[in-house]
Amino acid sequence: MNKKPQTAAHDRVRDSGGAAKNRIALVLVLSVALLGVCAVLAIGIGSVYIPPGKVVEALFSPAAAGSTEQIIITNMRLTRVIASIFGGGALALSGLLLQILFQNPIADPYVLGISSGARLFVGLVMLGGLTLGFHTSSPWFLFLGALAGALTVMGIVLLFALRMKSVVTLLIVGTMLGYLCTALVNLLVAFSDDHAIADFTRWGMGSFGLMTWAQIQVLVLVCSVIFLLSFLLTKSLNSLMLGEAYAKTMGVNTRQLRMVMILFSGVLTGVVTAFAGPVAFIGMSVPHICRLLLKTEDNRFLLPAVILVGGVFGLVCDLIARTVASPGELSVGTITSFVGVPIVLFLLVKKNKVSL
Amino acid sequence: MSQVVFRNLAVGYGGHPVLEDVNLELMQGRFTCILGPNGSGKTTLLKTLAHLLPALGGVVEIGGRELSGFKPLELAREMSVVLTDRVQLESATCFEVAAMGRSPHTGFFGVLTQGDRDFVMDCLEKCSAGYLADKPFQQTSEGEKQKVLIARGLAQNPNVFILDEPTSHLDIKYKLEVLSTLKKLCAGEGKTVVCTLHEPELAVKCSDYLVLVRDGEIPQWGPTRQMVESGTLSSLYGLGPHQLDMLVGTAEFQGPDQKDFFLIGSDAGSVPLLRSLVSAGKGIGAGVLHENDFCCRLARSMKGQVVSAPPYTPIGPEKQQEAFDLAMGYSHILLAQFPDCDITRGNRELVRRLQEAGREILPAQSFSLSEIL
Repeated sequence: MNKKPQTAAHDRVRDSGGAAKNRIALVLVLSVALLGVCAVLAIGIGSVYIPPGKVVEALFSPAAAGSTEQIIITNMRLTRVIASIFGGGALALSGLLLQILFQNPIADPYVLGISSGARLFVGLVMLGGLTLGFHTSSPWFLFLGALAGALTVMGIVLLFALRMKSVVTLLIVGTMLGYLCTALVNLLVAFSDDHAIADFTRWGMGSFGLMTWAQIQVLVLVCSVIFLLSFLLTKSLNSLMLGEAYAKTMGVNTRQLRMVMILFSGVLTGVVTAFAGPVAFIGMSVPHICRLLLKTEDNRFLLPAVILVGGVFGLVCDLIARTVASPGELSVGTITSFVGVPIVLFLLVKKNKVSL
Repeated sequence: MSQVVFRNLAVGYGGHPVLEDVNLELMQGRFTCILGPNGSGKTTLLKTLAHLLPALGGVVEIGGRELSGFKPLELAREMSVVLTDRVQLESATCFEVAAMGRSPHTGFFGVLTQGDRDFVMDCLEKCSAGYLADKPFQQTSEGEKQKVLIARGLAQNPNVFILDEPTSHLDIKYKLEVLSTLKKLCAGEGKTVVCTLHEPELAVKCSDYLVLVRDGEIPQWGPTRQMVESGTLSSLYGLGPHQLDMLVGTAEFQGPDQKDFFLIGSDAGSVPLLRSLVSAGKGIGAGVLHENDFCCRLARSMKGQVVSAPPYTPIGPEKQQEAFDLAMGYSHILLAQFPDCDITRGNRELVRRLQEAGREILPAQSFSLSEIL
């Protein structure tokens, strides 16, 4: 390479690169800190208030074992906090992958009907299980059912996406598939026994508060594996931001990458939906919030940020859902919709201004 | 040396060939333009070369190796592509977009070294886009976006650089800027550049080789100079035989077949005069004009009948007679203001004979179309 004197422009780029890096580091560190603080607060807040000091003590000091606080925490609050952190992170990452996959800013497991597909298949397992002769409450079985549902709907959406490029068309296709799945679920409900329906309905509202420890284990295990594996995709994902053709000419095996992205987002959506029910809009809102915070499209930084901010988002929305109408409880989807719907509308208006 | 070779290539979509039996050689360090009307298959040909579409038959060789034998990453280091696809990135800067071109050269996580950063910056500057580095890509104009995307292609440091219609939707300033950047890449760095262009009038001015595509075949290809002299470009686009004047590089509007105005000689005002007559829907003719006179070519591309004499030679009696016969058929005769000298004397004689025949001669300089009508 020719060694010519560095121009002012070269220096400027190096400087601005440094400033951008600092910003990204700051946001990542802050979101880790925020996640910790929110987790402690969320464990403390509830019908019995436990001050943060006691929460930390109950979690980390063996001396607290057996105390009332410790029992409340491990039996009730902790599952919920872990579920909402991993659930939020998983849905957010799933949304990020879908947005890149579909080249569409409003892609999200809920908007595209993928959650509804998972719900339908979970319905088949929960409601139809008895009739069809397989009764099992294994969390893995629920997860596989949800995964099958998620991948089925995603396959259908992809077929449509191949034919139509418009952002709005895809939104309509997803919504329609969502309605179809709901209709099928209603049909299923009509033929099921009352006991199962009660369970299914409660689950179908969407909540991070229903999980058993066995389910939490599956959720944490599956999510952690996918979180780690997804970091291996970041370079290819960056190339894909320019579109599939450009990615190919930069040496990316796009067919393989697409398959992996579909599988990952399907697994993430499936595992969350299996245990928490369909939760709206986290997958769509969080990547956009992160893009605004980080001011970058670089997936090497966006990806960890999306997981962390998704965790915080899930945690806070769940906290609001269970405290605002206390002692009653709202579904977490109610809260996420309040955040998510304005973002969708904003993005649609913005998109329409440019071109559709 | 030929860098890219097409042998009996057939290209198309879904098994239906658009273009068959393509045999071409693209020279190293040369700028090749593929020209052809819309839908002729030039983009399909380019996409097959870029390995974005499978060849339906035949082979493409790059540097003596078959295209299908390259691993994806190897190919990305050998060749880069600029497409017409819209690129939408909400918050990336132009530098970040251009830096994506380094990805075939960076490690597993795509971390840029200082060397990579400098290289990207150099590429931006070669495309006169250095000033855009810190700007958000989404906020730049179409022309600026194109410059950044070309810099991205360059950042791949390819031997073969492929561009699909790099000048469409750009202002004339950017068109010229983009094409001169590409020319410099060929001449200065020995890159082999291939692009499709929508503007034949620009292609003849910047390319070393032209490839013509029409009706599912390549009727002609070769060095631009030969192609221009052969004069086949106008018919490629289904235009009149002289409408697209490739020597000058201009396309003109054509007048009707009727004989309205005949211009004798030419002067500095003749070009706008002829254009205003044609745009008013009048048929034109001219004579006797020397063949190296721009007005001679202009009048022909406007479908006017022109009596012409060889460059810098006196107008002989036969030409004069020919022009006299032609001019008599026109409703109005205009006279340009040209100096008297040996080679224009014939036109003075022509004016005298027309006046003797009772024709009114109007001075072209003070002529106003509205007064006549």
